Order: sequence, then C-alpha cells, then structure tokens
Amino acid sequence: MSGPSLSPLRRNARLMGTIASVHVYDDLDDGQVDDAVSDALAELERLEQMFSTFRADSVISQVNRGELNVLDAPHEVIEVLDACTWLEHASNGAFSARREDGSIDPAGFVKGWACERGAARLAASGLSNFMFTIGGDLMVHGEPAPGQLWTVAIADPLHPDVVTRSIEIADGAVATSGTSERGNHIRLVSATDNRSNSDNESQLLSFTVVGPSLTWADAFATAAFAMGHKGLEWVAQFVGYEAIAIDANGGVTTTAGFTHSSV
Amino acid sequence: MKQQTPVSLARRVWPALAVAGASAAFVSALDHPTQFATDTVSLTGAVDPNTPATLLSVPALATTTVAPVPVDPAAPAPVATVPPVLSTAPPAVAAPACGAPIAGPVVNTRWGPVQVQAGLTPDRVVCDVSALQTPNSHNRSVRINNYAKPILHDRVLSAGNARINGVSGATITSRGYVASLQYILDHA
Repeated sequence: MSGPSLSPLRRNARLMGTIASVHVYDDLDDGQVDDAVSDALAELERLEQMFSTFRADSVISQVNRGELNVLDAPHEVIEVLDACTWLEHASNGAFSARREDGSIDPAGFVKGWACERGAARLAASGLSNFMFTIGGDLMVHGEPAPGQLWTVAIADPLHPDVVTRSIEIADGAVATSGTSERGNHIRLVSATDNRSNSDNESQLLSFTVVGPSLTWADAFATAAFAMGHKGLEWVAQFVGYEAIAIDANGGVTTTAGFTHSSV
Repeated sequence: MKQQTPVSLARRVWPALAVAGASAAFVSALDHPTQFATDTVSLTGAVDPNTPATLLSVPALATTTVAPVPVDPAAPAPVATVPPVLSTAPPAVAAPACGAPIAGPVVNTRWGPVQVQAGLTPDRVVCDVSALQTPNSHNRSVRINNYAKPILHDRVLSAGNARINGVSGATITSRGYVASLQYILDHA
C-alpha cells in the first residue's frame, strides 16, 4: 500500500434487514454523491419490495400465494429464478431457491445480485472509485487512492488470536457464507458434504469467495459452503473466482490463486 | 394464506425458464461441447427433499446475469492449505489514544437485535469494540453467540492495525455485528 487514502464520502441506509454502506473516493461534491447514492438505494428498495419474503406484498410472496403467475412477474424475477436454476444445476443441488414445500425463496441469491445492481447504478451515475457493501458482502470499483488496492478484512469465525486475514483486490467483490445461513436456501447434498466430514477434515465455519461479480461471488459462497472442503475446487473451476475456507479447527484453506496479504 | 401446490408452480415456472435459457444454453453448449453432454432436461413437480433436484438440466444464462465461464474441468486447480498463524500475533504497537466508544445502531437479524459500540483512534482506526446487544432469546442464537461474540471482538481489534476499507463476515449475527460496526465507521 502506498500513500494515505483520502477520507471517503460515506453514506448508508437500512436495507434488506441490514445496513448498506457506500464509500466514495471520487473528487465529487456532496450533492453529486447524494444523487448517485439515492438512485442506487432507490433501486435496491425497489428490488427488496419485489423479492422480500418478509413482505406480504412482494412479488415473490404473491407468487407463493398463487396470486401471481410467475410468467407475469417482472423480468428481474425471471432473471433471478433463471440464474438460481443454473446455480442449482451447476452446484448439483447444493443451492436451491425452492423450499421443500414447493414455494420459492431466492433470498440466498438476491442480496448479492441486488448489491451488484446497486453498484452498477453508482457507476452509471458517474462514480468511479467506491465501495458498496450490504451486511458483509461488498463490491469495490476503481481504487481508494491512486495506485492503491482495496483492503478487505475477512472475519474469522473462530480464532480470535490470529491475525485477521485480509485480501487486497482491485475491482471486484467479496462475499462470505457461514454456518447459520444454511436454513432456507442451502441443501446438503451427500454423505461427504459439510455436515461432519469423515477423516481429519473438520466442518467448515465460513466460506469466502472473491471474484469479479458479487452476484456470483455471493452465490458461489452459499453453494460451496454446503459442499464443505470440496467446495474450494468447485469454485476454482470458475474463471476469476477464488475462495478461502475456515474450518472448526481453525484451519484455513484457499484456492491456489487466492490473493491475500497478512495485515 | 393459500399455498400453491408445488406441482402447479413448477409446471408454470420451469417451462418458461427453459425457453428463456435455451438459446444461451445452446451457445454455451457450442463452447463446451462435452460438459453437459450427459445431462437431460427433466421437468419435475413435487420435490423430494432428500434428492438433489435438477429441474432444468441446462445452464440457463440470464440475459443480464451472465454466469462465469468454467475453466477446463479436467485440470482442477491445486489447493493450498495455510495453517493458522498463532505464533505471529501482531506485535504490540504503541497504540494511539483510543477515543470514547460510539454506539452503533441496533441491527435486527433473524436471531434478534445486534448492537456494538466502538472506540476509534484519531485516524479512525478501530481500537476497541464491544457488543451492547446480542441475541439470546433462542437456543440457536445462544449457540451462535457463544462463538461469535468473543471471536469477532478480537478479530476487529486485530484488524485495527490495518487500514481496511471493508469487512466480509459470515454468520447472521456477525453480519449484524459487521453492519453495526460499519455504521460507526461510516459516521466517525
């Protein structure tokens, strides 16, 4: 790292059950940043309204109640369900947007996808150097200072005494999946999955994926976490995506191309 | 609350997705002629929870959400294991003065509210973090907290020596924790 980062212009809002933050490192005035952020957050509000299973009036809730044929749903819903189907196939069922009762819940996919759309809106509004994060999944664009990469810390779920691993990335995304996220959208797929692995491989506690797209970094983290250690090789087959897994013994395993730097 | 049956939902959804994905799948098949050769298209209704369902066995590439391209599956990338570094904890650095704690907002997670407070150095580096609220009304929440609370505390403190732009976290409670902390960083 070279040179100090300038203090970014920072904005945030409550969204999707957590907080969305935008840090802007461009030489823009507050009004320009406010306009761009308002536009992006409005888009996210619109998407949350469309997808939230916690809102009775969301499109997904209407579909699940049988009040709306999914073929009449907005194109964003079709796009997301289409991508969820691809991921279910590509992950051999480790990921699924369908509940066991047959209703649909793409929440495990939507947050990363929506966050990436929000970041795209910021870029479309003229922002060049910014970080956009929703509840621990984040996307960076440009650079925080000339010639400088972004430093993102990975929260270790288990070992408090170890130096926090951090990664430095240029444009791209970081997403992490963990043990408590299994419930609705992760389906364990086989006897060699992430329940309690045989031999000396212990259960994973968190799985972080780094890559160019937050949609897929988040989706891969969700699916690969359910696969256990073999999720690393699964992620590595996708160009541009790297992963870091932390298991219950404190072991940290990464894909070969993972870029990180100790702090 | 009327619940639509799985069969009718699936019958209505998946044919549409098949159409939507068909052309993209065809192009993809040209690029990867063997990858999906053994797959068949199956449209099923009711889901057996014990069976990894494959409703639509073609790679459905959405128009704008383009899936990443798999590399040659015959050559999986090697995996490197990095042991935890216990003996090289960060050296004791003369810490700058730690400011008075600032309370973050309450973030509601599925397991309950999470709120942290943090002190910052004049450089806005986190130097002290503690949880003001964590979920404890639910067995599962307690279990999560039992490992999440102390770990995240030290994690963030360790990271305080670095100038980090953001944090990626795992569990739902840690997401709440990270979000609450992020809010402090946003407003410091």
